[in-house]
Amino acid sequence: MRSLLSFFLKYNNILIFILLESAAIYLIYNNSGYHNIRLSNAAAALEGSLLKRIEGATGYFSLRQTNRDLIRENLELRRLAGINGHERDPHAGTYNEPSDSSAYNIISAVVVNQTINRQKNFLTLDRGKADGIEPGMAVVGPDGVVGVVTGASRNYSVVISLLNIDFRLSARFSNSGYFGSLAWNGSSPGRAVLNDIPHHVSVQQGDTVETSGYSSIFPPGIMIGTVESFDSSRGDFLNIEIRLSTSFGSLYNVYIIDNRFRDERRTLETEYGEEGGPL
Amino acid sequence: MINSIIRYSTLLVLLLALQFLLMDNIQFSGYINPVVYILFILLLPFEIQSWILLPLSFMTGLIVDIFNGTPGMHTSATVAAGFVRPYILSVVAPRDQYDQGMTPGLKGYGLKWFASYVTFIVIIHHFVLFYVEVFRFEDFFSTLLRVLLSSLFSVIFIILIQFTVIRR
Repeated sequence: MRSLLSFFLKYNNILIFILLESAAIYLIYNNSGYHNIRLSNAAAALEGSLLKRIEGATGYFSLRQTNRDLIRENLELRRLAGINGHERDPHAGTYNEPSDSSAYNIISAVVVNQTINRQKNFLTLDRGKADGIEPGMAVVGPDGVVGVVTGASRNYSVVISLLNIDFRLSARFSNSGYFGSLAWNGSSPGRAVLNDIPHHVSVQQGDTVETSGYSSIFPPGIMIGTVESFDSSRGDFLNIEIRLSTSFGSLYNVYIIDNRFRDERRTLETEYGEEGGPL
Repeated sequence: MINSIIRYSTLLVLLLALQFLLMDNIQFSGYINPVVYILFILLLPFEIQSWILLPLSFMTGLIVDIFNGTPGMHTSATVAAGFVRPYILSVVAPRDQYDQGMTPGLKGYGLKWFASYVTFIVIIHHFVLFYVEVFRFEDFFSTLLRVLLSSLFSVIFIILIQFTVIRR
């Protein structure tokens, strides 16, 4: 007994170290994956309200830029509305692709917190279950794709950012329609890499890359970015670097897109097809 | 005793505010994310016992984790930093040992001593932090680059803070 006690006294620092370090590792494992989701409702709401207060103060600093973005977006929307209003297509919505307005529901939200300088970045939005937000909904900004909702509490939701090394997105060229899988490479917040594009596809610098719509999350045709450079020297596929159109550092207003038929489509696909693939 | 508890609590609050409000919003590039809250662990008195140093490290890391929404990441890194602190202190010790009642700092033993002390601990802290963050060895060298670049900036910021803000 005495020797055991003296052993503990002699090595107390190592023992405490091991104890605390295993507690930390337990925390990591217990919250592995998208840790924020596991936060209880109350904790998430508390954190959210604190963040909201900070955001309330810092939101003023970017008012000018936000206004400019909103005006630009309004103009764009008005232009689209004008086109639709004038050219009245008698067949619209009958045998075209399923009309977007019926399949997708759009909810606006404000970014209350986000990280950009980690390897696994997340955003927090001020909308939650009370507003109908559920995990698996797409999030887009004024300039293009932002991420996907991974968890929601009553009033807040957590979004996995495009700037997350675990995030995969099905993307295509808007001109040729060839599609591949887009992932962030973890180094620069403005750039991502598009994989799986075969060598015979002709790629130009500045080509637009958009969402493919092959997933049930993002509607097709949402801007992701433009081709910055490509390397055809090695591998079976082109190595294409994409300049992302969304500037994550100054993101403020975003839209959450809910595909109303997502569950139906996913159930069908898991039942009769292969599950998986990029988002 | 009470006096020093108040002093260290103020220091911790100050450093955490600096970390969350300033450092976490700095975007040099994806590689650099300076960490300054570790200065709290660095400035604790020389003769502090490990049974109090390690729980303090754990607590500091846990606070950062809770605010960042990253359970365990900063905790494990800070506990590791707290654990190696006595060994680093004995490695960088000046020839005539540390005086009783002193606290580690710029004033006591000069810039060169302080810089090497900070550098060792910050590198170990960042090493644990970034490898726990990616949790894979695939991109070993790019993570290593992040460790080294971030460490460089953390050390610079810590020394700047020590120079300007905290004179005590």
